[in-house]
Amino acid sequence: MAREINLNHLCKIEGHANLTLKIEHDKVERCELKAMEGARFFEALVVNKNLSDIQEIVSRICGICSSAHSVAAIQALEHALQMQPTPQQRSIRELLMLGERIRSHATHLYFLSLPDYLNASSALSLASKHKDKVNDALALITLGNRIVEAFGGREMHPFLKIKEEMPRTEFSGLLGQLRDAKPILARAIDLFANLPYPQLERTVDYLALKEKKEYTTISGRATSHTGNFSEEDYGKHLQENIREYATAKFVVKDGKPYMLGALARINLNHGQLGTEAKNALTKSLGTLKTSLPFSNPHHNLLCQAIELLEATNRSIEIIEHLPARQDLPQIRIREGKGVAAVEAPRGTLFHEYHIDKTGKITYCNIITPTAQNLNIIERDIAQVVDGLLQAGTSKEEIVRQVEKLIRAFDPCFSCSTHFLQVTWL
Amino acid sequence: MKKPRLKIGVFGISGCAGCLLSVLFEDCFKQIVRLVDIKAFPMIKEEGYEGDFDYVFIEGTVCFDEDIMALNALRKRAKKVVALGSCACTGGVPSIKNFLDQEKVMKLVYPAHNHLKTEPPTPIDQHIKVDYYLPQCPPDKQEIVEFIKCIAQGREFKPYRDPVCFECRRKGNVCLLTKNEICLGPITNGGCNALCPSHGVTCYGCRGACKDANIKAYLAMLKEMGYTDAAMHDKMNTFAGLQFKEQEGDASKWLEK
Repeated sequence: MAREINLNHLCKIEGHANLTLKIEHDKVERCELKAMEGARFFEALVVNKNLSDIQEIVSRICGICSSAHSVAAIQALEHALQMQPTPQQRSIRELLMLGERIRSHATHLYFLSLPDYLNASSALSLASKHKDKVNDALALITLGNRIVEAFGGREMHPFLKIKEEMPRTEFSGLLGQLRDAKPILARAIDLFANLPYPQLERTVDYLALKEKKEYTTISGRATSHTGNFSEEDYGKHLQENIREYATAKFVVKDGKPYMLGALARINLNHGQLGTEAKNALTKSLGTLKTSLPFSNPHHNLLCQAIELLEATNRSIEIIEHLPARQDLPQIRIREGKGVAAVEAPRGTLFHEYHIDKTGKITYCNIITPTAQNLNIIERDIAQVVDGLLQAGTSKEEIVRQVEKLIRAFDPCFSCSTHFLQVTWL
Repeated sequence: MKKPRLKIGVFGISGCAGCLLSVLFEDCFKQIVRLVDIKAFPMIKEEGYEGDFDYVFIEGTVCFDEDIMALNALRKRAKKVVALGSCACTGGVPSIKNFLDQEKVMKLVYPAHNHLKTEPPTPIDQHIKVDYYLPQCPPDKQEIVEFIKCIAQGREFKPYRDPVCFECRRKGNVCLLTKNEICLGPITNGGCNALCPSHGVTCYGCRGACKDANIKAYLAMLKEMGYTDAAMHDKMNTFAGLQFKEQEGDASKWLEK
C-alpha cells in the first residue's frame, strides 16, 4: 500500500521547508526535501554592480552567516584583482567568522535543537524549568555579537570593504568577556555530550577546508576522505542539480552526496584543534562511547559545542597577538576571475565572481553549505524512516524523529533558498 | 487586576532570518518575553497556536505566491501588522530584481529549468495593510524594544522622520559626499544614528526614502559630481529602489536595462 508523509512548514529551522515521503510496502520510495522560500536570485542581483557594492548585497543572503558571505565575497574579489590581504585583514576576517560561528552554533544548539531533547515545544517554554540554559545561550549569543561588532562595526552584516582596517580601540573588555565564558562553554560541552542521541550509523564522505597548522575558517584546501582540491577547482568537483520540486539547488561532489559542517570539520581537522578543545573532545568521545570519525549526524550538536570552545580560544589567541597596523594595498581595478571558499557555521561556502575592466561584476556563482548537505539529509531521512517503519513506529514518533534529524544538520533554507513541509496522506 | 499581556506572533516570509534573529538577541529577547506573550514564532517554536494576535511582526520580501497567501492569512488573524526590517518595509535587497531583465535573471540562476513560481519582489504593504514599520537592515534592537514597550504600555510609537544626514552631522562625521562618494544619507530616513557613515561606509538607503527629501535636487547634485543616472540608480535600488522610484516620479529612467 502506497502512502505519503508530508511535513508542512517545519519549525525550529532557519527558513521554510516541507518534506514529502512516498512510502510503499513499508519502505521509503521517494524523499523530497523542499525549500519553501521564494527564490531571491542573488547571483543575478550583483551582475553589473560595482565591486565595491557587492559585499553589502551578498551579506543579505543570510542573517545567520552574513560574515561568511561577506568574507567569501571579499576574498573572491581580491583573487580576481590578484590582491593579497594583509595579516591584519586576515585577523579581522577570521574574528568576524569566529564570532558569527559562536552566535550561530549557540542559537542552533539551545533554541532550535535542545527543546527536542527536553520535551519542550520551544526555548520559550524552557525559560521556566531550564532558565540557566536559556541564560547560557543568550550569554554565548552576546559573546559572538560582541566579537562581530568589535571588528565589523555591527553584529550582523559587518562592514567589510577589501580595505578594512582594525578599529583603533582597546580590546581588553572583549578579552575579559571571552575569558569569562569558560564556565559556560564547559557546561555546554557537558550538556551536549550527555544527550540521548538517536542511533544512526552510516558511511558518507565529509568535506571541509583544511590547513596543516590551524583549525581553519577562512582558507585552506577543500579536503575530504577521498581527496582534496583547491577552491578555484570547485567547479570540477561540485555539481549543482536543480530539481523540479525545489528552489534549492542540490549539490553532489564527484557524483556523490557528502556532509559538511561542524561534524565534518571535527572529523577532518580534529588534529588542528587547540589543546583545550582536543581534551574536551576526547572526554566527550568517552562519554558517548564512540570514536573518531563521527558517523552519527546527531553528533553534529556535540561537534558544534566543541567548536564553541575552540572559536572562543582562537578569538582570544588572535586578539592577544593582533598584527600591527600596516598600509593597505592599493586597489587596482582589472579584469579577472576569482573564487574563494570559507568555513561558514554550516560548512564550506563557495563564492565566484568575474569582473570586467571597469570593476563591474559580469558573473557570480554561490554554493551554500545547506545546498551541499541536502542530498545526504534526504538519504539519512530515508534510512531512518525505513528503520522506524519496520519497527512499527507511530506516525507521530516518525515525524518527531525526522524533525530531530533534520535539525541536527542545522540546515539554513534562506541560504539554500533554496527547504521542508511533510505531508501525511 | 493585571491586564493580560498582548498576544504576539513573529513570522518570516522569503528572507534571510536576520530580523528574526535580532528579536532573539540578548536583551531584546529578555525584554520581549517579559513584556508580551509570544504565541507563535515558527523559527523557534512548534506551531500549535491557531488563535488571533494583537500584533504580528513580519520579516521578508514577497518573492512567490506562497508569500502572498501567508500574508493574507496572517492579516486576518492580526489586529495590527508590523513590517520588520528593510525587506518587509521597502522590498530590501531582493527588490533589486525589479530593475533587471527578468528573463536574463532566471536564465542566470536557474539555467536549465523554468519551473519556479515567482512574483516581483515587493514590500508587504503592496499586498496587505501594514500598521507600523520598523525598517533597517538588520533592524535596530533598541528600536524593536522601544516599540514593544510602547505597545505594552499603551504609548504611541513615534517613527523617526528626519534624513540620515541630521544624525550624521550631529556625530561630526566627515561627509562622504564631499569625498565624491554616492551616499544616500540626504534622501534616506534616519533613526539609525548614521551607523554606516560613522564607519566610513556610504548610506545605502536601508531605512527607506525620507518623505520630505528632494530627490530631484539630490540627483542633480550627483550629476554635477560627475555620476551617470545608471550609477545613481544602481546605488538607490540596493534596499529601497521601489520607494525612491515612486518618490522621484520619473519612472522611465528606472526601466532601462
